[in-house]
Amino acid sequence: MVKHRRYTPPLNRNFSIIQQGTVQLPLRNNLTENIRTVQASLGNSSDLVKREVLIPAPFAVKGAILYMEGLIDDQLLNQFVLTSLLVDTPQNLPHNDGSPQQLLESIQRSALTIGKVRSFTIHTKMVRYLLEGHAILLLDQCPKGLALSIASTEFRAIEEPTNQVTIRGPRDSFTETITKNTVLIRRRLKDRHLRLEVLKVGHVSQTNVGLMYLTNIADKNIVTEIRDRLKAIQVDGILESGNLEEFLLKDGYSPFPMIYNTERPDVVCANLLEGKVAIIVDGTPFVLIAPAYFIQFLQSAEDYYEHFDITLFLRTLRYLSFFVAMLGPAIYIAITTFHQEMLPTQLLLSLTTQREGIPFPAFVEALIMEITFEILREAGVRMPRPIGQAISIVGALVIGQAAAQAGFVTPAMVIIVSITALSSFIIPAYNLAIAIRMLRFLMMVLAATLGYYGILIGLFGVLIHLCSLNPFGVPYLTSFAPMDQEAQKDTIYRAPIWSRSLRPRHTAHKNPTRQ
Amino acid sequence: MKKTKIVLLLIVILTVALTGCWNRRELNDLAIVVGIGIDKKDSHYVFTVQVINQIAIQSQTKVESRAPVVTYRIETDTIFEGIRRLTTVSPRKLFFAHLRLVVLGEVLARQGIEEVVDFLVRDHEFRGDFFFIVARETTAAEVLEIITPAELIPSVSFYRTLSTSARFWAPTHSVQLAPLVTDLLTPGKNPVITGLVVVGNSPSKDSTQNVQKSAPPTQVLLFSIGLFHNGRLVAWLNEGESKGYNYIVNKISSSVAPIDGPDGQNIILEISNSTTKLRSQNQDGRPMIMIEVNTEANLGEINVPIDLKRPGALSDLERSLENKISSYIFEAIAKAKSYQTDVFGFGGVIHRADPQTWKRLQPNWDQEFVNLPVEIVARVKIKKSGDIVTPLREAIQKSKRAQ
Repeated sequence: MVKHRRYTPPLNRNFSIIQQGTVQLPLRNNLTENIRTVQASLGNSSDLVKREVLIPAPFAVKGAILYMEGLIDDQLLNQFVLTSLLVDTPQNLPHNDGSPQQLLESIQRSALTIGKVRSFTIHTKMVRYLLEGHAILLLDQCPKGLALSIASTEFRAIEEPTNQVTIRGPRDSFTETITKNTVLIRRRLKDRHLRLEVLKVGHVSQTNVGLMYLTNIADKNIVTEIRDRLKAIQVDGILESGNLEEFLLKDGYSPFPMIYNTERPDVVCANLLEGKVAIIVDGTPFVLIAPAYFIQFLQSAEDYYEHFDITLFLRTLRYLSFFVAMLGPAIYIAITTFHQEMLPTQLLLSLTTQREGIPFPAFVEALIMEITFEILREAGVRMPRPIGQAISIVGALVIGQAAAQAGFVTPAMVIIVSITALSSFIIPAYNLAIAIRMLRFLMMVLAATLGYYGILIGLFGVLIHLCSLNPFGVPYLTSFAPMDQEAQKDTIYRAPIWSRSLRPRHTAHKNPTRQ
Repeated sequence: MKKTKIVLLLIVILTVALTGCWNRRELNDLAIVVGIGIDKKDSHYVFTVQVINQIAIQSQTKVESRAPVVTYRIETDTIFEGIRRLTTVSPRKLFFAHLRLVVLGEVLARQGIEEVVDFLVRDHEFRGDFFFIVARETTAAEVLEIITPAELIPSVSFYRTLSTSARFWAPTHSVQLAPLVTDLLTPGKNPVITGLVVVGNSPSKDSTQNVQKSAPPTQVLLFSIGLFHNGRLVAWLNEGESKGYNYIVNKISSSVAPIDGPDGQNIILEISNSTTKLRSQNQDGRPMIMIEVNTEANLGEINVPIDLKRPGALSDLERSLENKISSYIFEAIAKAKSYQTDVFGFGGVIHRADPQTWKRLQPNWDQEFVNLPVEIVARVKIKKSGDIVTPLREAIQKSKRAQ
């Protein structure tokens, strides 16, 4: 049973190791001393680049630019920082003979031709900025520095989605850079109500986690709760949104996924419009969407881009294959070992003759085949690409023919396992497919001990469990239980877009109408 | 609150244990029984089961030399005892859920089938969708030992023959367990069971040699309907009477009816649809049964030179088919009356229409049935003449005359 208490975040401890390790040192007047302190706190790391400069006359002030090699864009540094400082500054700045501190301020205001410039006075901040890809400008006799945002944008380009493929629909997918990802969303929703809050999670990784929602639609309580939970996370590093997902759901266990993840910006936008919250984690192209319902995992983006009657067909197929993937081998075991009278005579004859001489009971037979298949599947995913073909050949031969010919398993079982495997691939969400795959083994055990009766017990167990899930205060089986007449327009079938004037009740009650 | 939880938990745990009996059996531990034969020999039963020989019909390692089925025969005082005693010969447990056919020997049928039916209804493993059949002038054991062509499993073969012929050829009647029991129990109705005869009696009929020829030396044919009275077989209807029976009980879905044309040559009509309504009418305080048959027919085969374009030609044919149907029905009733057995359920019709009269008639119904007046109204409509109108013979003669 999963209960999500609303909890208040624990008091913000002074959690940063850097903060603990280094003293909250203010910057000194002496430039060399300042530089030495930075170098010391980074352990004289060899990728820290120090470029000493002299702001030309009439100022003739010594200064230094510090940056981490590779984290900043060299071209931007040359073009907009060094050029401005060393070539243009003398002409443009007022000759007020002031202190270097005033000079720094006028550089910030009038000389630098880059967008984001922030000043700081303590070392910890400076180190943080350095590590985030800023260039640092320090001047002699000045206890203040400037952080220049010229971070390198050399990351993977926007590519086609690889996991959530559609025939028709946008071809862009998220990348590992949070700024690019938020841009992909902003470009689609040009509304002032779209909010982005960036939090830092992980006291070592200092990962940027973006919280995006439409403030006029999303339920405030849900947003607050997610924000609180994110803030409460105490961990050294968040490397993928999956790490966050577990933290967000740590109050209860369920094999079923309760947070949706997607690499498609269009899916995120559709969900934002339904009042959900997107959680974008820097360093991964998988964006989380919370709260998620069960039915969402059986939907694909293409359902909304193709004609609506096609969707009815495809979704029916998916719901069907959901059950096939979960129950396929279990039903076969139950029928052939308990309920032989349910088969048509001809089918019974065909099955029973296949089983002549098979040394294992049907359950063991199914188990062998299912495990073999899982091994093959995992091997196929994990294997270096060039060897990929070998696996499919071995797999097809081992599973398909040799096992049946050698008399270890019946051809019927091979068919059942193959159909089950295919069905589990139809489910659009990979994490739901895994959950079902695990339940499949449970169902097989129940079927082998109690027959259909056992399957029914198992199904009831799963149903009760699903009904009890309540992630972020939204019933997991929403639009089936509790039954929601309006939401049926986008459940098993999808009504034409023009007829769906209402947003989902649970997440968007603040602003319920679309049209 | 805690108490409710405990009670709920108990209910759940107890209901898990409260299921019916079931048993885990692998498919290759089963001996699938497709046919049962029951004969009476002196005072005890001869019980025959036809079991599928899985090894022989396995597609990969097909052992041609083995027969597709095995029959086990055992003499026993009671049937249930016989089934259990068969474990001494069969290596696998007999599995009856896929039973297709129960063959009753004629001797047993004439002595009474109640005991057999009692067992079949009582035992939970039987599914009740199998057919009953009587082995006419032979024993059930003999019938079940015959290897049949076309269908691999003889019982399945008989089962399908019976269901097909009941649908396309009128004189057979398929009887399953539940209707049979109902007919046995209902006052004012007696059951019927279709009979089956063995044609040709070659010594190799029980081996696969029987099916190695294109014309198997021994074959099994469905015959006609056997009338029962108080659970005992009393008489066999002939083909026409069997058709009459099926017209009365509204079991004709498609059939073929020959009617006499001029010169004794035949015109064959195909019955495409036929419905029968039975009604009871009071006539001077005595009940009378009205049989109303509405039939649709098509022209099937015409061996007579008649001019179908003549107005009234078709209605002439309709009238003759009406007469034919009426005579089938009349003969069937006459035969049943002569054995005092109401196999048509006329008693039930009277019971439903006029319970008071039925109460009076019931104690002596067999006698009353014999004197029951019956009126037959047959209406025939010929719908289609087939792909041609003029009979070919007529057309040929015409064209020759024209030369």
